[in-house]
Amino acid sequence: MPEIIAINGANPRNDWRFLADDEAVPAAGAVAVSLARWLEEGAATGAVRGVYLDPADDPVLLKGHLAGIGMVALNFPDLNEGRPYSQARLLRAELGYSGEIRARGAVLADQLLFMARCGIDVFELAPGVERQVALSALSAFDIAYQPALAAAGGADAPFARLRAGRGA
Amino acid sequence: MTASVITASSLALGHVVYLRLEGACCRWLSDIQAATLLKEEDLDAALARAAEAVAENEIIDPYAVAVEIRDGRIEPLSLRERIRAHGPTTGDAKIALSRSAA
Amino acid sequence: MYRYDEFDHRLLSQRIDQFRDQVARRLSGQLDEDAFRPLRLRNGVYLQLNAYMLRVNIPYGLLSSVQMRRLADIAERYDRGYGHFSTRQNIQFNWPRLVDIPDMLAALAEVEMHAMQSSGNCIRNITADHLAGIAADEVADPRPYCEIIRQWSTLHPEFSFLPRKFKIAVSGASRDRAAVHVHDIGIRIVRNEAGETGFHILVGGGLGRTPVIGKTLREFLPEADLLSYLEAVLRVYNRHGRRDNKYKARIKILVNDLGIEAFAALVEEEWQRLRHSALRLGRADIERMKAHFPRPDYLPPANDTSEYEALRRDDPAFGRWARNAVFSHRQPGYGIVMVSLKRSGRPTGDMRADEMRAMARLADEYGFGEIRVTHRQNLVLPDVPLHRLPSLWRELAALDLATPNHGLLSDIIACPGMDYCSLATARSIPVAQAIAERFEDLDYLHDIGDLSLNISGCINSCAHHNVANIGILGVDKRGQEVYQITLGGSSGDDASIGKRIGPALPAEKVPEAIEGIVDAFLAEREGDERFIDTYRRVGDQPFKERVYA
Repeated sequence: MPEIIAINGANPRNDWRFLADDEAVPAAGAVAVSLARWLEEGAATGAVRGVYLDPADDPVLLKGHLAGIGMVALNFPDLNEGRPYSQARLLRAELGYSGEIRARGAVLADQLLFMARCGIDVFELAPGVERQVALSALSAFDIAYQPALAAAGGADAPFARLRAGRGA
Repeated sequence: MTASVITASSLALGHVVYLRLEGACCRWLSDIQAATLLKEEDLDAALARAAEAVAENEIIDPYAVAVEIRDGRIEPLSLRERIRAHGPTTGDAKIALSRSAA
Repeated sequence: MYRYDEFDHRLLSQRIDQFRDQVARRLSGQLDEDAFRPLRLRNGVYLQLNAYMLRVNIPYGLLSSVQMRRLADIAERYDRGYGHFSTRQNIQFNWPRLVDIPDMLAALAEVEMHAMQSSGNCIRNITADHLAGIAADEVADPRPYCEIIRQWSTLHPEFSFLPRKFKIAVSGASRDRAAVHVHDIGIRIVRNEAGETGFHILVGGGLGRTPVIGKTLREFLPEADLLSYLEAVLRVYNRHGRRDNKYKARIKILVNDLGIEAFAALVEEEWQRLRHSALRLGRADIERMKAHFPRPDYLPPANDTSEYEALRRDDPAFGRWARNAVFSHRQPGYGIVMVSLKRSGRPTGDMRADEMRAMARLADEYGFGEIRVTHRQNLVLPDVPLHRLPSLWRELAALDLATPNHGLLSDIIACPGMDYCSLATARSIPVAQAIAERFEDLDYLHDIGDLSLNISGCINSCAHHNVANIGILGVDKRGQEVYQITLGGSSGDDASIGKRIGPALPAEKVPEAIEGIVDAFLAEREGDERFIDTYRRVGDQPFKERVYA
């Protein structure tokens, strides 16, 4: 059972089953299927459905499907993999997804804050990552040069608003 | 006579170090003349000791370096390893170039 | 120059605390090297052949005298008393200890310098034209835009794990001195017919194993859209750049594979989602940033420049220096002074702590306390009143900082090579020194004229040898250092990739080969053609014949 950290009020389940494409979907429980399978089969009754993405998957394909999705999991196969950060931002900022986005795989302490700032709110810590170290890493910065995800645009938005955080 | 020594980089300080086996102990020293000369059959055991030092966060990237003994001094065979042992060659261009033969 | 506010200081301070903690966790073993490596790289820390190396950013090549003094202090206190200026307007310290690096970063932060993202698969130092703000041919000062881009790209959460490094250069002049054609993104500031300022965006340029000239992605991008558009390009790269092969992971490969039209279409698609976001720059944003780069309080031209003029006429040494190292300034009565770090017997681009302090003092006494770093590893004193040049020259000469070889054959760019770099396959500094020694005669050098000669110690081409008039690439052949020579490269607006002229040569034969190439040039030259002009006119045959006779 991986150590899970949740932020921004997320209330993650710890009983998700991540189904391979050839596994039958159970009638009940929390199951996550691959993007391809979701697009083909859609939401099913009886089970709480989530979707998992591999780094090469295009999250924009979920446009119009998000209402039925309880959780999107992003796979980080290794710590240098950068595509899930874009996937998270696309889900949040472009598709307006407000449900849980969960990071799985090589989820190490020092990457958490980047993940959080891209909209990921649940972290399945990689084996060996200590909870305290992870929480500490998440609070390494309280400001940023880039706008917060929720920041509005506008032709006269001052540059200061491009910065996220206290007093900005 | 050719043999090998084990080299690595000091984790905390970054400089080049060489393995010196002293019975049960091993030390990592910056002077290649103090390195333990190893025969082919001893390399695996020495690299295993090096792996321990990596796990203990003393060194990084250990590997074996082929050396020869010239006038009683340990000298790496490759230019790259000679630079690691003695430092950059950029003091005097003429001397540096004439040392470039393998 | 840009002055940090509380926000900038706070962010940098938090970054240093974070790295201090990461170093502690590494030393205690909580982090292993695989987990630590990307973290230290993103703080500018390499592990090199002999030691760690710390690469400190000099944003758009601009340094204050205060900063230069601090670099000197750091060199003495934490390193071996010298630093090395790189080809991307950075400075490198070659012997720092990991345990000391957080303290070094803290010392740098006090003078508003940092090492964030000077390495790693992220957006690197934004480089610019070293004559920004003072060149006569300037359309607009690139530095405010560079600083805007720098801040946007710093610790960007989406783009901190790119497929590979990402380098952006900005040019604000009609003549490109920022090598925008060989960067991942090159930006030229332009004006449209309505007189509005905007950007010509180039993408996918780069050197290394597969040198490529950048392609136009967008002819005119309005000012306001700068960041949102860059965000779109980076997102396309982050999502689609290759991650399976380190040598095929730069954006130039993606642009090549897709073709520029398909690539541009992908960018357009992303950009439509981003263009009205919070990244849109307002007029006030740009003006506020421009206000950080005001014109200095120039004095009117001195009434009496007779000493300067007389010396220039009568003293051959001063005359030669004035003609070679002093450039026209857009402000009447001022000159731009090139300070060569290509000195006889010294590694190219290196500077000792005492020289750094002297440079800082000269910047204060003769200018406005500003120093620039060029792409050719040289320095610039940007605002020197003409009547003070004789005095400045005497001081520079006493410091061995007055070699009048700017743009000439001995103004060599050499990467650190195998003397320092663990990636290198051959040494480059000794070759540079041997060549420079052959061409020490200043009259001869000046007769040869404009000629760029760059030496890379491996195929990563950090010395940009493929866009040099004469390029030298050091490779390893069965344990021997051998050198391939290319001719005909050029890095300005007429950018071209050099062509190999024949089999690689051993180190001892290289200076002779260069002499042969120069002899061939002088024999073929018509009028006052530059080397590159003659080469383009006659091809490589005459040169091959001399080298491989």
